Amino acid sequence: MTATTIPTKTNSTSQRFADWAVIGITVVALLAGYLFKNSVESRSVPFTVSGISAQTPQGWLLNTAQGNQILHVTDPLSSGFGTTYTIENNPIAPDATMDQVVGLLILDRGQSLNSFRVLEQKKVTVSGRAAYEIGYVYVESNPNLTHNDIPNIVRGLDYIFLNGDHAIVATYWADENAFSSDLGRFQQFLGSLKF
Amino acid sequence: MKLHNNFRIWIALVVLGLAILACGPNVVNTIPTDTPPVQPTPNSQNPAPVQPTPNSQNPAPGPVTVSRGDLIKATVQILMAYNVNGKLIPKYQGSGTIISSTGMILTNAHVASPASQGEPDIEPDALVIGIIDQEDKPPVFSYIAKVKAVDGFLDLAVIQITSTLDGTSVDPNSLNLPFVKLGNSDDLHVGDPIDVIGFPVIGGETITFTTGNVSGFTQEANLGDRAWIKTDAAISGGNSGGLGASAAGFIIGVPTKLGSGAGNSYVDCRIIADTNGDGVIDSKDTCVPAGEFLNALRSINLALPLIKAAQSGVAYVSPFGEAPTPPASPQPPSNKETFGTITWYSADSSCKEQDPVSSFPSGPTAMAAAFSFSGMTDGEPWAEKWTVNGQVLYETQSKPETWGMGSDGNSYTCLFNNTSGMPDGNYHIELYGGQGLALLTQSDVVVGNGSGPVPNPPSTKGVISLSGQVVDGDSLNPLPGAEAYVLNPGISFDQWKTDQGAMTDVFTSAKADDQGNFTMPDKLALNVSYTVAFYAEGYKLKVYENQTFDSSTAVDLQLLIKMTK
Repeated sequence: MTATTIPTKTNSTSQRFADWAVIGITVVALLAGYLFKNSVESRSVPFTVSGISAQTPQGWLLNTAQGNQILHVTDPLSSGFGTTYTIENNPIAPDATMDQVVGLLILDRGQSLNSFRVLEQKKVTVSGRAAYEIGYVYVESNPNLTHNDIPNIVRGLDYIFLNGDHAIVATYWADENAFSSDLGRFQQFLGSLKF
Repeated sequence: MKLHNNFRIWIALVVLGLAILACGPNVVNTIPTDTPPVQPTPNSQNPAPVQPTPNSQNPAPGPVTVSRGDLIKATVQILMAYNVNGKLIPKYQGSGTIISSTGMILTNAHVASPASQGEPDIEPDALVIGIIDQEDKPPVFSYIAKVKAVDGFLDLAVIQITSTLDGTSVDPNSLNLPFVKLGNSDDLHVGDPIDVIGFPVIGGETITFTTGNVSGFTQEANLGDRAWIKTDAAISGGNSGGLGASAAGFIIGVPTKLGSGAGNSYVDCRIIADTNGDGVIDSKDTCVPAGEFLNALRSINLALPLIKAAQSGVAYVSPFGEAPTPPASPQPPSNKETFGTITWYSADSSCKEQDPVSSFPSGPTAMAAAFSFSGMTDGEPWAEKWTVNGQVLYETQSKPETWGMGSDGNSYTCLFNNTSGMPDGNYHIELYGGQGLALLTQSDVVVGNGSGPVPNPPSTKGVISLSGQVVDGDSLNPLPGAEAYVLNPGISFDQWKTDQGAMTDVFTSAKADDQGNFTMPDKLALNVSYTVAFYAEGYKLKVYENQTFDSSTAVDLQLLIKMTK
């Protein structure tokens, strides 16, 4: 019987380096893709009217502002009710209190939104500025009764700021199913609001 | 070799995991990792939300004490709202008490239906009900209610919630609202504690609770010895119609405004916001009312017939004597109406004249404008307009009042603000009457550190109506939104510029409609020199100085104003 030596396979240093390099490059590529995805999603365009400025999401539809609205943008890619941000600049008496403005805004919403219901209201601070938050829900109005679609349930948030003889109201409307997931983007928009 | 393969597998799994994290939708929170923009305000000082306790329909044997939380939740704010261009605009407010879980509310007649007290001019188009969710938050306006039974003589009314704000009907049986049980005002004794709950100021304050004692009882003809419950509890105007509760938590009285209920009682109006969305804060927007201080409650036992009628759906007829007679049908003007020169008086919180003044110190709670009159007819329309520094504070031209002071004599009208006093400024009042509600008299007065009284224009009665159309000079297309101004006699355009366009220099003004048409609301006098100016965005200002109209001028003057760029 002849003893034979079974040759053992050993990795050379260069091959190990190649293995690690492939792994490293893959990880870097994945991270770069993630960061690029985030930057695309966060891309915004500046908006300024009457001394009020904000960063609005790029690629959103700019709708015709109505009444005291100075901004009305909608996400064309959101499902159900299109996620919408608006900014209103409402004239008020210089000595009007926040509670007065809140009460009247709720009265206005109740008249114009179907099945409007306030869920919560509280004082908050937004980027160091005093504000009032109203959370509510309503049912989207669809006057075309030939539609087979079920009306969307919309959740909304109003942030009210007193600014001298105006009350600035920043609003977030989103389909109930998308409200939480889209809220972070709105908070970026809200954080960018300046006046 | 085996170890090397396991290592590769682990690396592959890690890479796979990273890929899932990177490409999965919304897996990673996009909220910035630094401090989020929205921070709730620390609320440690404020009480927790009101927690209702079960509200049994059948009271348990023995004394029952209702929690203050129950009472607060059953007290509502009532807005008297008016339909303006399809929107409900609140103008006055009061309070009410829910007396059944199906949304039946007890309040004052002057809150729910001023027409029942002879004031049809301010009968609201809708009653908006604000419900308390948390006692440290303003009420949430949620429902519309309608009058079910009203007694103007008693100043009591029962209203019923019928729909949500968008007009959707509600099933009363599904409301399940907290309510206050009815007590017996005949069982009260002097010295018994009373709790009063209501809303003194429209939307501006949260619910207010005061406490006091039964100070006594006041009799009234046909109503017995306990027509009124006197109390030392502090109550202010907006509490009207609210809750007066016994120590056990039963409603035993309704805080009720005392006084004549004359039109002047609703004069005080502080503009809050552009509630009707027309871009202007004026009298068409909501007001903050301030009535006299109350110190009496209408006994609950007097409300029982109304409540029974409302519950059974039977029409209610007052059994306590005649209600105040509404004024006769509107009377045509006699064309002989005159109002004399206005004299200013200081006044107390009930608008009772005190001393004649030529100006007011800062912060008066009331200002009275007294004037003589002749040629008036009860039932004919008249109107007033109050401005401060050119901004309309209160006006009734859009909804004229009904005269009821006789044909000749002296009268006064009053503006008051018992909560914070009148702000400093240059005040101007105009009184209108007669054919076409012509300007009959006007006056100015300074409050505090105003810039000085504006000279009164000549007291010549206006006769020339000025109207016309503003167009582009080239195309002749109408210019909607163009503005037309007539300055006070003696004020030149240069002086108006020096005064930075002060509205106190303006006699009358108008804005062109979609067709470019305008009509000056005030008539111009004869043989008086005016400066007339027209403005349209993008066009040169057009000014006509020293315009005098004599008897040869048409009474109805129509102009075509061609603006150039």
